[in-house]
Amino acid sequence: MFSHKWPKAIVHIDGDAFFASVEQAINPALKGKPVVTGKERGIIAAASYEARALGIKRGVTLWDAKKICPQLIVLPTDYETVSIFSKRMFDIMRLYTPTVEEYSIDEGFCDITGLRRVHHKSYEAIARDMQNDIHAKLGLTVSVGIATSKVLAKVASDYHKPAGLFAINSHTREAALKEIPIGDVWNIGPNTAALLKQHNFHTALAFTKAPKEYLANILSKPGLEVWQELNGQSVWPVSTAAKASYQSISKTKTFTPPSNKPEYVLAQLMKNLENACMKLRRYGQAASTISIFVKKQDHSYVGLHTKLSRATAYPKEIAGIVNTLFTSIYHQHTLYRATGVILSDLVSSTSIQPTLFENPVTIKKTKSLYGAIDMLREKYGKHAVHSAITLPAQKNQHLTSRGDVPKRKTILLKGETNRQRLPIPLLQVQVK
Amino acid sequence: MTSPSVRTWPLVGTISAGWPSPAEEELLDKLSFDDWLIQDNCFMLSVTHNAMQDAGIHEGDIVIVQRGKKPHPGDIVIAAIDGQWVLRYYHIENGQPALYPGNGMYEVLYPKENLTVIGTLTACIRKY
Repeated sequence: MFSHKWPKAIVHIDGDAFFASVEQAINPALKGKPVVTGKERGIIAAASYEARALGIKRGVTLWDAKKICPQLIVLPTDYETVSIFSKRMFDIMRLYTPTVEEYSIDEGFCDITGLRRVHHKSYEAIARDMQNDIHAKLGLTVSVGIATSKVLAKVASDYHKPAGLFAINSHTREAALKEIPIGDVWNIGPNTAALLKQHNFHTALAFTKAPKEYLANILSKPGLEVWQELNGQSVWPVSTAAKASYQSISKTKTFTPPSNKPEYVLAQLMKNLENACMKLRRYGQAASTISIFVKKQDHSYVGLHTKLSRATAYPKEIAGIVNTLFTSIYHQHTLYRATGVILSDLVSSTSIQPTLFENPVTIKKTKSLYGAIDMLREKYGKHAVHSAITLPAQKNQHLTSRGDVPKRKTILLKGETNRQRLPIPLLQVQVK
Repeated sequence: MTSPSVRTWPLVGTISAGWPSPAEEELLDKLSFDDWLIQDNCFMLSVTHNAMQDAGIHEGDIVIVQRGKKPHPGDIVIAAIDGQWVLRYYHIENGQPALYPGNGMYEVLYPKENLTVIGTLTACIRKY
């Protein structure tokens, strides 16, 4: 029996203050307390709801936060443990449906259309089971939205954080969208939001009531797709596919303290280049355009890009160009805080032709070289082999003092090494 | 779920006295140590006290604890009892939970205000 109320049932699951909640999960003594992460950066990356209640949230400096709440618990970001929790969260979702899309480290979509008969319960009840299962097994809460499209599901999960659960279907849709500012809608960026406000569409509901033909004149295809999704029509499917290929691959990294030393900033840039190329090779692709950029203390960016004479995935072939680009934008009296590399115009690596003036033997040697490097990295870790120019950037990415390294990293269980750890979270509480 | 770097040992059935007959030998499906020890709701804890030594759990051991399952009397649990975290046997006495030690030098604990069980023990691991 086809249900007109639910042509599709899409669930959006969003971790509540995920990084902070993970810390509370592995150290239950922190539950109910104001906890923030981001100590190694000097700025708050994630804040528990208890901290948020005090006005402490992402972007606030640790200095300001401590003034508001002297008993604030400040922790360094434990990416390793957060990754384990993230993977587990998605694995739990997969117990209910195979169609799970890992959107980011702490949120994802599932498609549970047609599964009511399988689970013997309503869509809302299935989603609630997922929420309870995650809470019971991981010790943290997530907020859940159920709707007929991804955009609506995201609106729904945001409705009543934390630990919220809300369903939007054709009957409840209009009421749900009435108070949502147009700028808060997923995939409506600040430019589109400004444009829509100019045309007097200030809320999501007002936007959905606009005639499609009118919008077709002012919006491009993605904007119209959001309109369809907000109107309950699913345009973007929940995609399970691991990324098969990319439009571009970028690697950026912030470092502290900021530096104006050219060898250090260049080392950071080259490290990003090596990592980006590693990713390219992993997906069997090569890039024909490279962009580099640096971020200054005032958070402004300076960048340059150039086309390459042919596509490549080997840092050795691009390093000279990166060096040239870098020297043109570097100023010795400027402090830099981040660098980035973007490789675009990607093609399959099998379709590369050497240019007329190149020596094919050199290209073959480079290919074997990186084949060997990739094998070593696979066996001994990502940082086992790297070019010497990146040496200054191989130490800690952030200025750390004792207490700025996640607790898990300071504990080595028997048999573990600094590179290889057991893939299960370690409870951080003193147990007698 | 097995990661590529996990080694597995084939479980070849039981060995009776004498040479195993080729007809008897049967290779069962391989179970990795990961799957044997860890589920999606497990975490580790390093043991720092000897309150459970009679149960064979000693200081320096790693115990694996699973979350989300209701404890049964006799289970070994990690619990917060009136704000203190302990590893003990879980029992019910007169309708109330009671935490028993595995060591004569420790007392039985009864909650005055509250008791929260975080997880139940599934394994104890010791490397030499």
